[in-house]
Amino acid sequence: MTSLHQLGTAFSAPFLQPESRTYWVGLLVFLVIAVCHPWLTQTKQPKNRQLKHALRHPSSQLDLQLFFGRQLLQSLGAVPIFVTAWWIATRSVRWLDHTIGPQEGLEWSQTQIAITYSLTLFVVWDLSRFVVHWMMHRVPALWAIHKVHHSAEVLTPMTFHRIHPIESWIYSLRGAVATGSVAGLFYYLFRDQVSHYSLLGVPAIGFLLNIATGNLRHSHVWISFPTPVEKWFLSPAQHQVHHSAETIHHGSNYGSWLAIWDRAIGSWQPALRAPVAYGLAPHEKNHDHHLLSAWFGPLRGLVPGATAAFAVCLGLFSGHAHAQDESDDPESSEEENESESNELDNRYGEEMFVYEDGRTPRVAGSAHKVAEGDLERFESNNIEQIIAQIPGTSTRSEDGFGLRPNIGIRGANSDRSAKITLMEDGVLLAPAPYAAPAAYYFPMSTRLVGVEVFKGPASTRHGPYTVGGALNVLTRDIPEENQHYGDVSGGLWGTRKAHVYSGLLGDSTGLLLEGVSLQSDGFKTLESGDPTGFSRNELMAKGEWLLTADQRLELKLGFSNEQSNETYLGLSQSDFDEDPYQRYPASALGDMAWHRTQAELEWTGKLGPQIQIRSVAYHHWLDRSWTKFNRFSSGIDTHQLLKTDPGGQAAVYLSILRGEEDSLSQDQQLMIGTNHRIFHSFGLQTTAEWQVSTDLVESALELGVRLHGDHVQRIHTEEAHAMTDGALINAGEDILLNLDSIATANALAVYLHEDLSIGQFHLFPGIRYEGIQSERVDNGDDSADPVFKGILLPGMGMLVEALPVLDLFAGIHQGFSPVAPGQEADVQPELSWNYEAGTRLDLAHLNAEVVGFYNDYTNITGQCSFSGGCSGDELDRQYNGGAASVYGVEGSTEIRLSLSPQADLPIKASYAWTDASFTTSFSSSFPQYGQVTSGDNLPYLSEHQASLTVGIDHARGALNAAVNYRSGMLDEAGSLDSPDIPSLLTVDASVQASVTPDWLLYVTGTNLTGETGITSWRPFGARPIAPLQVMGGLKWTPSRR
Amino acid sequence: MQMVKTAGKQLSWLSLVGMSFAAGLQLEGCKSEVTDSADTAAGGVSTSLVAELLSTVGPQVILPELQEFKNRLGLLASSLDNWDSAISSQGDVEEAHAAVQDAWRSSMQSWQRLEVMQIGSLGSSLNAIGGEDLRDEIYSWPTVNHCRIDQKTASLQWQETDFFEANLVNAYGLDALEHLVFAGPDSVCNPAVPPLSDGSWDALGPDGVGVARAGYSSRIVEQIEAITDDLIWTWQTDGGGFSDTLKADSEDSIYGSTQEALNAVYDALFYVETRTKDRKLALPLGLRPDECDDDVCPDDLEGLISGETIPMLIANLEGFQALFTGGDGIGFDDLISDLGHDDLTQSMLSHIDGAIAAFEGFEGSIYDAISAQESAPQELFDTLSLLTAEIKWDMSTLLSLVVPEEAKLDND
Repeated sequence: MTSLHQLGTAFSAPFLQPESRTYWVGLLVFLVIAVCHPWLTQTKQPKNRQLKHALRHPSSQLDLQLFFGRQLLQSLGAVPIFVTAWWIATRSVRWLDHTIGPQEGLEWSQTQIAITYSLTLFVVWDLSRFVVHWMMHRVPALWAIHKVHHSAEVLTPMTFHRIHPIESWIYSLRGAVATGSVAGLFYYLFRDQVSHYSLLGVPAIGFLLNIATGNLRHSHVWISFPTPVEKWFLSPAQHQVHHSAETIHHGSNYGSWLAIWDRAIGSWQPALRAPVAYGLAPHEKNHDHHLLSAWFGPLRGLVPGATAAFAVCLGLFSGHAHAQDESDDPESSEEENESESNELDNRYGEEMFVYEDGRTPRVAGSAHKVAEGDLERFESNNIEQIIAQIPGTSTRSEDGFGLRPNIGIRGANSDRSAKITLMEDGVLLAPAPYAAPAAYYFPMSTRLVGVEVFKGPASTRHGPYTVGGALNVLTRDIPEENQHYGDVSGGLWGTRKAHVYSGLLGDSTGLLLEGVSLQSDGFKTLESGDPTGFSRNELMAKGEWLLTADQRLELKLGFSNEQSNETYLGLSQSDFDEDPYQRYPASALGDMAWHRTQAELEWTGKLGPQIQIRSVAYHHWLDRSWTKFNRFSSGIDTHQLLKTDPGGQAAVYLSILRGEEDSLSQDQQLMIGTNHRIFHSFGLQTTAEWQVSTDLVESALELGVRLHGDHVQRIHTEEAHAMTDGALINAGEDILLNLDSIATANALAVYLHEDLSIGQFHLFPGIRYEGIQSERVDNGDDSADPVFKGILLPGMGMLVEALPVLDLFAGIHQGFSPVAPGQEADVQPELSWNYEAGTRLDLAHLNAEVVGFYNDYTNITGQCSFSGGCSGDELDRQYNGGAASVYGVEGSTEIRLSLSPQADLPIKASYAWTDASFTTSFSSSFPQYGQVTSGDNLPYLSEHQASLTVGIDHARGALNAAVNYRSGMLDEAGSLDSPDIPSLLTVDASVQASVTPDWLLYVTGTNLTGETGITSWRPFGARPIAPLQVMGGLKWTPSRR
Repeated sequence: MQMVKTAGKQLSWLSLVGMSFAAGLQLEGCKSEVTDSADTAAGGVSTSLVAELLSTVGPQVILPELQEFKNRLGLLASSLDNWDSAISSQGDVEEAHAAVQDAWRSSMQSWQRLEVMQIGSLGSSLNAIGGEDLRDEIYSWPTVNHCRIDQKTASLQWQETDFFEANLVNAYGLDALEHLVFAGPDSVCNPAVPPLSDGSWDALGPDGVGVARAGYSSRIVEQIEAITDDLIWTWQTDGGGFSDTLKADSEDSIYGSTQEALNAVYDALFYVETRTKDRKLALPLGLRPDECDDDVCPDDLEGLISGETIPMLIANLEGFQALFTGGDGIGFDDLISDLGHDDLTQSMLSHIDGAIAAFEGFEGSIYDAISAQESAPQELFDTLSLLTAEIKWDMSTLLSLVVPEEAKLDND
């Protein structure tokens, strides 16, 4: 009988307890409104949305199944609640008593206490619901579970109970924590004036709102508030928008009652119209409409997601801990501002440069480094600005902020930096370096402490892309003593940045917490006033444990996210000339959102005095979704449309993009696509160095092994929109699923590199092996057999110390760029033989390097991406480009003159001349190649590139100016005699002044002359470089005391 | 052991390592050969025949067609004058109006043959060598805006000197003419927008609308006549000399090679694949579900106002036939036969005749037939597909021609 009683209580409680959303009074109110609403508003619901029909829908049946299932589990005690609000409240009081000391109790009236308590609990309750709900959507493992709630295709009050048991448990925990902590605080403050019964009772404001509108949130009764009201209080209709299946509504209105949380993170949307459909897109579903499927379906594939969730949580907590530690630690240390190249030998040798006695690097071939001191010269937030200083590199700017830089080295195509090996602290950085190398993520330059570029034989150590070279960015190490730092700045276009870190050391442990947030309102404008800016945040935590004198363990965790209103749509030449910073109304829905987690565990140790080993296990995860204008339904070539400023029908299409003409037919509908991609990259890499030294010979043999796996899931959808009166209106048609595929690559990479020194002669033989197994499976197609490719890539470098201050060096190595999964059988990997020879001069105040190179491609390849101007079937395809030759000369020099004992005059200059051309004639579907005649130059590569930086470094400050130049570029293979993109010269400057030893004021200005040049015609149309930008900031680097 | 989950397969690190070493011994990845995609020469086609074909296109095919189109435009212009006079003089307006409609049909028949001949300046500036979008200046379907025409009619903007420079192609051309000479007296615009919202349409009255439409039409015909004159001059050997340019035998030709010029003619023939078959038939039949949300989309048919859908389709095929056979000169049929594939030539000629016969034999309204989802329109599509498949696959392979990007996706 007791069991039956428990069962009855479990099933009736949600309807009898006042705090429950489905409290019977609330349901009664809902019924009255549902019946009266059509009559009052003179509207008629579609049949399938009327309550009686909705309740019969299979979706509603699952609502009930999940409700009964959950209550059954609870009645059987199968869902343990580890803590209760009372338990947390009592612990909170004890902790406050212990930490602050017991309070006498404030003398407030019961009414004052009740009102304050209700308001506080309301806000805390609402905020905690918002945070948990947001995480339910943003953390993959939680989203898998929360999909159960969002798979509802019709909404009824019982949909509130349509949640997975795990989610139910999480929300119970949240409720206990929220109520318990607030109750504990009030009991601590007011003691006996309040009883715990009143504190743990119903949150009064929430109760009233639940009764009034709570059940309308999950219903088809469309009740919205006037927009000014919805900006503060979410209407029931806004929650229905949250449940919409339409892409435009995704990621909106996470809140329960207050709208301020959504507005704070940019997810607020007004309720303008009822969604066309509710539920999940077919590719999102992870269960069917029955109980067991809903319980167990979401658990499939949860393991990698759980890893990500773990990392996310740690990332979030690290940010919190950071703030605390910053204020708690009275000890602070002085940051080493003089971060010059000869001080770069970091604590554990993660960097790849070899420095000897403070001289320039002695490596196998050409290599460059931008050190922390140089990075800080211009306080640059844009990696493209930094890369411009390195000879032989090229960038194609896209958004003007460097959010997704396109970097190439020595002729390697710059599109999405997919043709170079990108690394962070020596670990592959791209989202899926083998299966989908396009770098949609790049660390924020403001938190980097160095950028290294390896070309020539030096790149043999860093695969798999060895044609152009490798780029390695360095993140901050755990400092060698306690250290703290803060930097805030703001400037034009509403750009603002905050950057903090804190390093704490124990006897054998160390911790670094770092966070950066960068936001901008954007320098482009939409006539509608819609946003064009972005918000980017990055958190990094590093923890170390010195196991022994020779062994060290480091855990690095990272979390990054971005929301940017970015588009692929640029402008026609005439519109660019009129206003380069305008955006077409057709781009108004552009929205890029991603988040990334990173977890790396590194062990460094020595086996005896001669062998040093470094092993890193890594797991990176990136979930990105980019909504943007993809194409016209008619398939008209948008890139050509904007580039040629045409007449005829095409001019009508251009007018539609401008919002001047309406879409009158299916052909003229604009397809707004959402490319959702989920990347995983994981592996284990080990490098071992064995150093032997005799009187005659010095040898450093390095063996590197990397087992790597990565995969990308691509889900590309499109929704038709019509341009109507200058705004994009959803045409209400079915969502097209253009692509649903998974590409996988597993790779074994092994390299052996020797650094042999015999007197003044140094030899750098090396060989690299890449074995890659790849596979692509498109949903609905038969699984293709995995493709395996193995290749040996030899290289040899040599260096002669001709004079104590002058080295001569030369090298040869084979370049390779693998074939992405799922390509046509005739697609070959990119292969080349690369030669270089040069000299380095190293004097006390002057060093210089000149190197000539020749890359002889047997096959150069083009990789199709949206950003490169491809679409439809071309997307992600690779194309042979046949033979090509790239040769040139790169030079760089650095001079440091002493003006006075306290002031130096540093001068840096670099120049690269590159001649890159095809040596065969062919026709290619790759848009950047097209119809190629032998001798045609490669696209997006400048023949001349130069940079000059001059500054004054003083003990109390610094003044720097930089001039960067690149000659014209081609948008498509052809002759550089008539470049599509004109040459560009920009001037940047910065001033820094130490106010006190701890505080530094700085002002930076980029593009001081306000150049308005085109930086790219890709993906669609002309894109401007960023306009004049001035930022002012304050840095805090507390001195050691 | 860490397992990597792939769709339908489990790839283990152990197997990967094993395969890696096995493959390492073979070094199969060191191949440096590149698939030769640079061969753009016509596979074994007689160079002299190609040259003859290219020299035939202008004088024997396109110029006669342009001349015929010009003649019919002249008749259309006369009929418009008569219509205008009839309205003004209270004459037999109905008869004059019917004559205008007949003259429009006649001009359109002629133009639909030229639709398949968009070479050089007639072609799109986006994807045709030498393209100047002149086709769109004459006929911009499916880019049409009937309300815009009513607005221009009522506002009398068509009288302005720079009307054609100031407006987009959806305000003029043969497609605008179709609306002007076939539409009923009421405006098709939404009542909330001009010319209904501002009362300008009602202010004109039925006669005023008729007069305005006749005047507007005359201006459009004058414009088309002028463009046609330019086109004729462009193609004439003693004019712009484009007939010679197409031969691609001089350094200053816009075509890099004779093969590129031949491909330009081939691209023009593709009209029957991308427009006649896919846009004019497949889309209304609902065979392109991405672009037609319902089972069928008959409202996307061409020539609905005039009821000329079927004659327009037939004219496309006749134009194709003329260009394919080179009129009385050398055509693609001769090139194919010269390569020893007379069977393909005969098959294609037979499929052209078969398709024309099928369209001519179609009875009743194609709009009604598609709406009722009858089988006859689908049969027309199937018949036409026999021909377009040969254009797309057999011709391109045999003559080493590059299929236009637009036609690479098979929408069947």
